[in-house]
Amino acid sequence: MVTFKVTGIFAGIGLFFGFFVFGPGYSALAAQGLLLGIFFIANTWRNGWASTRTVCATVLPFVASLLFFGVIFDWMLLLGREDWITDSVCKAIVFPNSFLVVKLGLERISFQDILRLPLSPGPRRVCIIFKAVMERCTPLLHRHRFFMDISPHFHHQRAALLKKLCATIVATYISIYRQTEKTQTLFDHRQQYMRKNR
Amino acid sequence: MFELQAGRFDLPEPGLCFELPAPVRIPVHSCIAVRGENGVGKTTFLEHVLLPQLDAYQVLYVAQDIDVQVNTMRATLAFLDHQAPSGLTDLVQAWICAASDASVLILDEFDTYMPQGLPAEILLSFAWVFFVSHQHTPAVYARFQHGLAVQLTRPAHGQTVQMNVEELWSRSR
Repeated sequence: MVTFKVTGIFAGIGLFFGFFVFGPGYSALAAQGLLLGIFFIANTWRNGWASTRTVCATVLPFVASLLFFGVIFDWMLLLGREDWITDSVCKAIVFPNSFLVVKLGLERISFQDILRLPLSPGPRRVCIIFKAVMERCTPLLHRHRFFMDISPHFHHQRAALLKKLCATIVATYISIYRQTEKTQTLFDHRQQYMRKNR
Repeated sequence: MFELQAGRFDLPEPGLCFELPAPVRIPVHSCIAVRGENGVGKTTFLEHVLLPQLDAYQVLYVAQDIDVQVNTMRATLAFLDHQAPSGLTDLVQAWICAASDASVLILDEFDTYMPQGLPAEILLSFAWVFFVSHQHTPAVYARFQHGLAVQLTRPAHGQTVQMNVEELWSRSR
């Protein structure tokens, strides 16, 4: 049962990417827009308004930069193309859709599901650690952004906004790396303890 | 002089409402203790009421979740081409010293991680220092010209947090 559930989730994610990201559905703006609405409603229903606001805050910089560069490239007629804005709008909708479909899909897989999957110990350990790290680190990006937003260190510096953004990404990466190390150590210690007590 | 505005500050996301009955004028070279029981909303006050009012100033905020913030500090020092020390105390000091123009320092239970506190020369270089501490207030804070305390209370664990400000000491130069 669990195998069907997990396989179904990954198949669903694969189908989405196969059709709506790399397939004919990519440029179907109406369908993409409808999917975006459905995913936002599903996320709000499952995780609340705060989670949806967080998702919006996460994807907004990327969406904004996609649209910004699309306008610039269209104005420049870069590579002789006149469809930069249309393409950027597509990307601006496909990106949050992709983010949400992966988020909603992976959220449905619980630790109990991972334990019940017919996996060998090594891959099961990797899946447990991955899920634990992602759950722990997902709120950290916003915390790092908050700290960087109020930090005065880059005032009066050239490309201050870019430096802040890069520093936020680096800080998040360090957090994920350290949390992965910590979770691995914790997992291994607990496993050793349980084996010793058997 | 910094003025903490009076009023009612509704915060829907934490689900709290902070009330300050009258504006509070905080002179330069003041240390301000933010006090209250566990869970009353001290960190929420710092992040959602105080920080927005300090928009015009350059603020250094050392948060309660320093284990998360250290990575931001390391990344910041790296992008400033400064060395990032490995020890927590040295890292925080390096991070503070890297922002030479900052006039406000906020410390949220920093003594949990650094019982001996920051060196006096660092603390006293700030115009205003806000700190949250459950431990005995270090003697260095008495070297500030002015000392105030903001007491937060939440009657019957409701959603409204009352803020009362008390002047602890005031010395002219």
